[in-house]
Amino acid sequence: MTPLEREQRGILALLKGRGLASRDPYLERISNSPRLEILREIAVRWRMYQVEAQCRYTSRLLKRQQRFEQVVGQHFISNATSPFLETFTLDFLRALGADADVLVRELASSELAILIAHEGKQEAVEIHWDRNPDLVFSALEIHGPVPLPSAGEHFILRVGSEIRGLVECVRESATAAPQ
Amino acid sequence: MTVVSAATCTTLKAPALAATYAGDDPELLRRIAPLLDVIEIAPDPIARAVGSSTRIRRDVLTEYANIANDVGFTVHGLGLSIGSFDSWHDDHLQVLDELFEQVEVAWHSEHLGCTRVAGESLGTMLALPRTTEAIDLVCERVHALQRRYGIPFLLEQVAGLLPESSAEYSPAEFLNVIARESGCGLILDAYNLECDVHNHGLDLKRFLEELDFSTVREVHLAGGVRYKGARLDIHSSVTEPETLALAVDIARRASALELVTFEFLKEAVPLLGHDAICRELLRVREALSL
Repeated sequence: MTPLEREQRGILALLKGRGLASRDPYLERISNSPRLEILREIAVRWRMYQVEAQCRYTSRLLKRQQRFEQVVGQHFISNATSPFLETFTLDFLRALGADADVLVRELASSELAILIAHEGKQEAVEIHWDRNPDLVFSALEIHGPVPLPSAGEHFILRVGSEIRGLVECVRESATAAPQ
Repeated sequence: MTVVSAATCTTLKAPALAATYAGDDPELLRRIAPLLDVIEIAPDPIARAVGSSTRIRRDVLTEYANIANDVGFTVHGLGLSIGSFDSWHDDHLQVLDELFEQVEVAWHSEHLGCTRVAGESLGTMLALPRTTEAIDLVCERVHALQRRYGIPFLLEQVAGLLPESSAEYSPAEFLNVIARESGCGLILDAYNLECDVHNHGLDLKRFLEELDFSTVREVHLAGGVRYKGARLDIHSSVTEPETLALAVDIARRASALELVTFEFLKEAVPLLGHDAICRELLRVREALSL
């Protein structure tokens, strides 16, 4: 390993909070420097800013849950993230598709599908909701209360570039009324 | 679609004035275009994932095409990562390939830094250690870029935030050797120099005395922020008077200087406002007698 490789690999490990593989006086100096935390903070804040701009509903929901910064920061630290911020956002939303919170999963998957459909290159996908997604989007838009799951009801949000307006929603019932 | 003639930039005898424009604000473009000679295109913020590849946004290219008769263009990258020990960012080269097919530019440039390591994005930019190993690596890649695109290539010194590692060269010598051995030009960012003075105690007087100014073709101007005792290279405000004065000093020394670029982030535009940006461009032009 050359000195350049050792230095760059070491700083990557420190930035991502992975610790050092071996002792190195310079890297140990960095690990004790407050500048390292500033650098990490800047990296995460840029990504928070981009995520907020690109997927405001998921961002607003995570902020309501008071874990927006933590989730973005954890995604940055835990993943080999893309340097292109737009790609970072798409990967971030994909990762939230496995979040423990069902509403976060539904919302992130929907916003991801909408972003991709907006590019005009996506066949329709279906996202299943346990509550009316239209009411959720509206509530987040006006900072109102988010509806609870609808007892006995199931909603399917279809998203695709061929769909007029990119999205359509049906309540899974005999009436199948568009929302 | 060729959208621009590079002649505006390459034939000017006095330094030309440029500013960053990253799309989506046609009113800003309408306001600043008459005040500028050159638009600096930053490929990173206008690139987006399309399937498995990364492409330049067509709508922003159209914006550039619409003003191609009035201004020239340069391309200033952020994410090539020319100083990574393993490899630079191939996706970034694809973006440049596409951009150069669409836009005729006077030159392109990158930061003398590292944004990815072992294929993983750092999420930020590191300055390079001032060593022969780093010089050899960078020069080899500059030569590859020169062969690939056949247009001038410039490197910008970056502001380092982390403590510096042991160096074999002074800051100015490091730039001098890279420019001499690779044949690239240099961009001096006045604000970055101020950051290094503040954050690392750079001896600015010695730096200016040691630097071979014959290779400096572009000067960058920007304003940033102070945060937790550090001065950060974030293009979020207008230029402070001392930064502008330093740029004037650099311009007087750099006989080959062709371009002065005021850089501001797209995200900073709502904070700055269009009026302030226009005033800043007029201020810079007047201060540097452009």
